Amino acid sequence: MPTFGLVITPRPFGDALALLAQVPGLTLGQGGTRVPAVLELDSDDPGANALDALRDHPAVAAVDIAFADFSDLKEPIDSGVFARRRRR
Amino acid sequence: MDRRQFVKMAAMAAATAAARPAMAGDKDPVDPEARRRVGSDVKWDKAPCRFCGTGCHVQVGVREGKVVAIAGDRKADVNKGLLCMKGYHVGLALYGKDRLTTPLLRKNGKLVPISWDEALDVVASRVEKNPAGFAVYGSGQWTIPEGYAAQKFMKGGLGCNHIDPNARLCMASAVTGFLATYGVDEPAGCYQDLDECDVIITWGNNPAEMHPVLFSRFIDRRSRGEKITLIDIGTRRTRTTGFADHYLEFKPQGDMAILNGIAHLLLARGTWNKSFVDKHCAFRADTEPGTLKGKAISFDEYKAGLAPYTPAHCEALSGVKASDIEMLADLFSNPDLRITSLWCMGANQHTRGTAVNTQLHGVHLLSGHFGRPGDAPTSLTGQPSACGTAREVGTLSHALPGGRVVANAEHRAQSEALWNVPAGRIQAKPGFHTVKMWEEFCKADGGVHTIWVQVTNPGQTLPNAHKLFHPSRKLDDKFLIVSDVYPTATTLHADLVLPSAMWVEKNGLFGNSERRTQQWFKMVEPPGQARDDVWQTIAVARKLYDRGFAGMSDKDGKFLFHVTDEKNREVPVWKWERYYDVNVDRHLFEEYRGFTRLKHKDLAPYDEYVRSRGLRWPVVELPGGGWRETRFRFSEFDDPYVKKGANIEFYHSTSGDGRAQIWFRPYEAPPEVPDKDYPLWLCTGRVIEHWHSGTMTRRVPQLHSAMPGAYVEINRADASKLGIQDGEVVLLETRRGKIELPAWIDGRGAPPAGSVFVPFFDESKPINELTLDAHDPFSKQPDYKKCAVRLRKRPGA
Repeated sequence: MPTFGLVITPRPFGDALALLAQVPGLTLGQGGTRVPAVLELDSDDPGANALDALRDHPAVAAVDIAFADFSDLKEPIDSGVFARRRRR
Repeated sequence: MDRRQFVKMAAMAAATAAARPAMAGDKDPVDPEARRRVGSDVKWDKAPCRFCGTGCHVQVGVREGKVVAIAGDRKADVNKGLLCMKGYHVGLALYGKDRLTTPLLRKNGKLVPISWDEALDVVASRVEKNPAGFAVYGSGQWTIPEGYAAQKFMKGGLGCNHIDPNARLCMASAVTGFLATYGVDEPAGCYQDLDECDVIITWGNNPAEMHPVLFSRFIDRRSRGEKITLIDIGTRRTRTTGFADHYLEFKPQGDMAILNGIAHLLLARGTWNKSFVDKHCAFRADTEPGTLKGKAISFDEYKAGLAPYTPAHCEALSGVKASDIEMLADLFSNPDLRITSLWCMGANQHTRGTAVNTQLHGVHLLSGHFGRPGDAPTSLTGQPSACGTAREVGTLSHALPGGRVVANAEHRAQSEALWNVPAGRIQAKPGFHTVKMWEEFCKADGGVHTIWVQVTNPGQTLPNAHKLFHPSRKLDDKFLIVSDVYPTATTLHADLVLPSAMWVEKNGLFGNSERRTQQWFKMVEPPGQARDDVWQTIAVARKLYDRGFAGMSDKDGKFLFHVTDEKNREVPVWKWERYYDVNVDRHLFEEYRGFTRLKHKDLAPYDEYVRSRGLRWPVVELPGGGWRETRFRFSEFDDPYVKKGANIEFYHSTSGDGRAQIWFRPYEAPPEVPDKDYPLWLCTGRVIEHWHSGTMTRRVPQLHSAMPGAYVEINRADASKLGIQDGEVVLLETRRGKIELPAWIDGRGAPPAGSVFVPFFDESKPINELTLDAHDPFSKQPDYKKCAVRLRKRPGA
């Protein structure tokens, strides 16, 4: 049974998570505005229909892959938040 | 992204796909598609997440000496492949632009680079000045070997007990609650309780944001159509409330009244579990002065104590409707339900924290909701190794490893024997607990002249910082040493800064909230001259040894941290270039294991943890070989230390008869309440995006942009009364200090009228300059959750 790890950005309305919880095979995590989730598919389903349906779901704003790949990071990161202290 | 791209990417996305428990064991921890996506030259390995106490396992992808990818570990039972937003970014936290890379010493008011050798000399000289005035302030983010090395250095080397972790501010009341009830620390159950309960009650707890992956178990069950009731009992609405079937809002300190109200009703209705209590419980009450053991009382005395706590009286004390207290009593009266209570800082950061913790255990014991999967009073920890390092290694000022305490002569003798140090080396008097340590440091004639801070940020997190932190910085000859990975509110004021390796830049072991010990290996080099905290401790110890400091030798004259290779030759691990010639973590862990068998907290050999995704103690060796972990302590069906036929046995009972203690705890008013000058309640806490004081997560651009700064959550009615608009910067003031913060009305959390909430992650808005240092009399844990505050429009606004 294939499983897909996803990060879902729900649309900003109150029932979005409740609606998503009704999606068959979808396991929701808790992640604030970006919700980790897992979609399980029937083994004879190539996945396209269920994933396509999820992307088009009214409660979903975006779906991203569920692992962080920052292999293209060349320079140290800088959020800028501590820059003022560095100048001191 | 078009459909074709989406399907292609989703097919690659299985790196963090959560496996159902039955599938967890036999699959690749990283999905092959994810491996292909990042490239076959990326090597993946396991590690527990660096952040909260849940203990999720991540898979860390490394290429050419750099962490380049993070995925949830599909083989991990804790998180089944899921991660929260902090977890996905944990690898990036290594790569902030301003990592500390060289030792820095304050000279003429400025921190200037020095060599490691000079830095070690400075620390050693501070010790020699007066070992009894040297203190270590550590952390629930210490790895187990880091805490163990610091513990041995202080108590077994210097003969000084002034070592305490920031966990004192976090879970000390949970410890005293467990000790007072069961005679031994840490939860009996495990995360499986969340999979098997019918009812979850969150007591002043917001797991949806603070333990999000753990909370996912609940969401997962609901999404699969299981009926599971969530009751959120809190002082403000949170994201957890959004999922709750019932929300019961109590006045600060009202939790004590609610719990007494439930117990009162169980007794009044005769629905307490008489059989369970007769066999397994005894009753206790406070003495004057109070002790953790208290005094034995009869059932009738217990019942008489609870008699005034009628639903109506408890409603008056707590603000929770009598009918809701009756509803809770109905649930606990039903033996067919399985009930899991969860709590964390709400119950712990409380001037009656020990009392509330024992009341929570007491309601479960009185009703018999204990000892079956799903029936569990479960305290969660906030930090990744608050259990593993602070509680189990015993890095608290009164404790020794393995549940030993310094005040007990037999315990000291056991510890001295295991460390092979002379009798009398360990002092009997407990050292300074956190609040006292910093008070002493802030007094010119105080008992502490130097504090070495490791893996924590007290300049931002100590309560009432104007009293407990800032004054020391104006006193001559008070010396602050800080080992850390980034500049922080503490390093800013330090006299000596030591750059540390972080997470997978070193070997490590953590212990999570469910007694699970987790191991990882070093995967990448730390930047510049940053070095392991264990090495720092050993290197200072060696400096002292070389100077002839007697405490750094064992009884045979060997160095206190004598480490040998496989041919039994000493390895000079105090030399950085030789430190990784052997696995020092393995050496320290195997030594530490000797302690863990003294109170049924047995750990397996180091290599068992290398193979596993953690094991829950006690871990016992099976007759035919192999090692077995324990999910449910004190229950015969799973705990190997329970006598056959006992069903339930509390084998560390403080009454010596296998019974747990049900305490009577009268309601007490909070230490400070709103009045005409300071008319509102102030509560503080965390947010989902940031870990504690934000020194790591605020450097990750994604997390910073998701939550860029602190705020004050205000109820709309209060804002309207004060003429405050959403987003307006307002002045917040207590008797201890004041700061300015932007107002957030109808924000993420919703405090009731008369109260406000402020998160503490933002260094530029240090809310802990306003909080209270009043603390629980037993645990010494301060109350960050309630004090009196006033809110005003900014002058001139």
